Amino acid sequence: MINLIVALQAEAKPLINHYGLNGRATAGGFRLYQRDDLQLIVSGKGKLAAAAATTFIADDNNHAWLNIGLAGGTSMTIGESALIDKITDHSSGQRWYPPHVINSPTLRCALTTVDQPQANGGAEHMLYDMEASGFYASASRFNSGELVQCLKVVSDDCHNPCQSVDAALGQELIEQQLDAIDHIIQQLRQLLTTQQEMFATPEHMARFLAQWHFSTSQQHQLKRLLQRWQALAPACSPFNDALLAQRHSRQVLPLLQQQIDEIESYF
Amino acid sequence: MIDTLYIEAAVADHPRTREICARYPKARRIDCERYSEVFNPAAQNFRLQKQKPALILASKFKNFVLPAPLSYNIGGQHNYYFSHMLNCLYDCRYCFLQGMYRSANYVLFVNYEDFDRAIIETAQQHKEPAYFFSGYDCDSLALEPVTGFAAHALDTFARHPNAILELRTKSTQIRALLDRPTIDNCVVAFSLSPDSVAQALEHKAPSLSKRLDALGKLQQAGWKIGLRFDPVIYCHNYQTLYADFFRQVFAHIDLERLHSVSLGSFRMPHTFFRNMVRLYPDEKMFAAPLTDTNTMVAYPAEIEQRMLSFCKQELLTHMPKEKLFACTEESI
Repeated sequence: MINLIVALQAEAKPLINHYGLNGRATAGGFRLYQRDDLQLIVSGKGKLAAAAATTFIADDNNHAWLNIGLAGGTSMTIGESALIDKITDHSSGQRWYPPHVINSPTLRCALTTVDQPQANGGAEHMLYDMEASGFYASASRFNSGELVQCLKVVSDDCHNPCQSVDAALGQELIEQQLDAIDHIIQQLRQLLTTQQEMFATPEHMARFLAQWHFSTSQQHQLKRLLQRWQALAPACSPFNDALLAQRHSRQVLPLLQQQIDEIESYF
Repeated sequence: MIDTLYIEAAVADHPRTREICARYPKARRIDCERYSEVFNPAAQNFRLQKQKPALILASKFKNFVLPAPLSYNIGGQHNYYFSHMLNCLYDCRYCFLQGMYRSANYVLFVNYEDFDRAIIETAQQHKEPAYFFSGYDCDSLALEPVTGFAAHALDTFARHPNAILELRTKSTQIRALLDRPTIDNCVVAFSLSPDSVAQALEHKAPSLSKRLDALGKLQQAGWKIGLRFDPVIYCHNYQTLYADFFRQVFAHIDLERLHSVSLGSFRMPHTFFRNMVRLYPDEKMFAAPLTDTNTMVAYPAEIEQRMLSFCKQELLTHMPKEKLFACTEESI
């Protein structure tokens, strides 16, 4: 699942339309939209709201996370977008460095998350927003940083203060970046696929669990044994007569291990 | 290709930082207070990051030189290692780095002079030669065109003959060595595996034939050569595989220039191995019969002894016994 976190409905609207997302009735006071492997939540303004929304849609599964939103700054032109590679929380001074392994032509920039909108455009080579630190601090608890990214679209600077950004402009600015967003989502999907390979349940696991009772600790052992089986004999089934003749999991595991140790492997 | 440079505040104006930045004019530069902010966070995945590692330029403050593990022994009594760099350009599936670090980014400590001082001070503590191993947390030469570390270190060691330098590598980046006079107190040690093992496990590393070619050039130029057959990987055809491999390697070796050969089988601290399996659960090498003592993972003693004894016997048909060293250890 790719989770999109946006602060405002105006930022969400172009994404909802573009990806054909459907609204979901939900508790918790958040608007949630979904289709296939895409899920979008409207968090509301501010880092606490972003952190709360992120936590609200996190579950035990591994998701990729993308925070999309508007930001201010003088070093880029209004309408340009940037992937964020350093996030500083202004009030706490805490810093995060989202690792960048995706290939994207999108510019990259550092960003400071502030509690109040910046009136003067802020420092050079820096964008300012109100959500990213809360989002990243929360999302990076649920998955690895490579799969937690922020894309910000510049909406205001010292000449065009944030007060001048209305819903229509916000919507238009996000709309202009849909190609870039598409590209990043595609790259996140690929990374997620690689990560899923690492956590995949081995083939045959379900049949073992249906056939015999395994304790939690035995299930861990079984999983590793089946991973080994898959690596050494991917074309063969482990369900042979000797194994099927066993009545208890405590007999199955050593026999399976013995059979795996006997598989010949060559370089 | 490195497209991101993280630059620690302490080295932002260091001449080596400026030189390296100039090599990557298009790279994105990100400043950080301390390299550990980027390198150490838990929310990182080595396998994902290995797709596109960044280079972190930093300063090391302490522990420049440390006692070497027992496995690093090529005939000296006093063995030390140092790590001017963390992580490696290559992606060898058996490498402990992927189990030890969360991040696949390369860290380069640019304060080489502090390493020099520590090495000299350590060497001066001993009457006998002291050995310094440089390829512990990285490949000694793979990033040499960028770091220039080996060239720098050779200048230092040239002035201190009581200190012996081992450059351990799989790289063919030997220009810095060929362009300078040889020194007697340096061993260029090549880590080698049979071609089929290298192809299956030593991702991104030069092929066996390219490594042998580089080794041949250095040998011809007068450098002392080391051969590191560590780890030897178990498979059912290991006898023919390693016998053929040793024949192939020693066809390139001038025994006069051969300093040492070391031999060890695959072993790994338990926690590192667990992390490695998490990254690559389908890796065939990790699926081999291995014993786990809760501190170390290794081949069962019977397999290990049989394999090492065979390799030793084969090696001694090509080389004198006094140059062969076993990599035995309790921990990495």
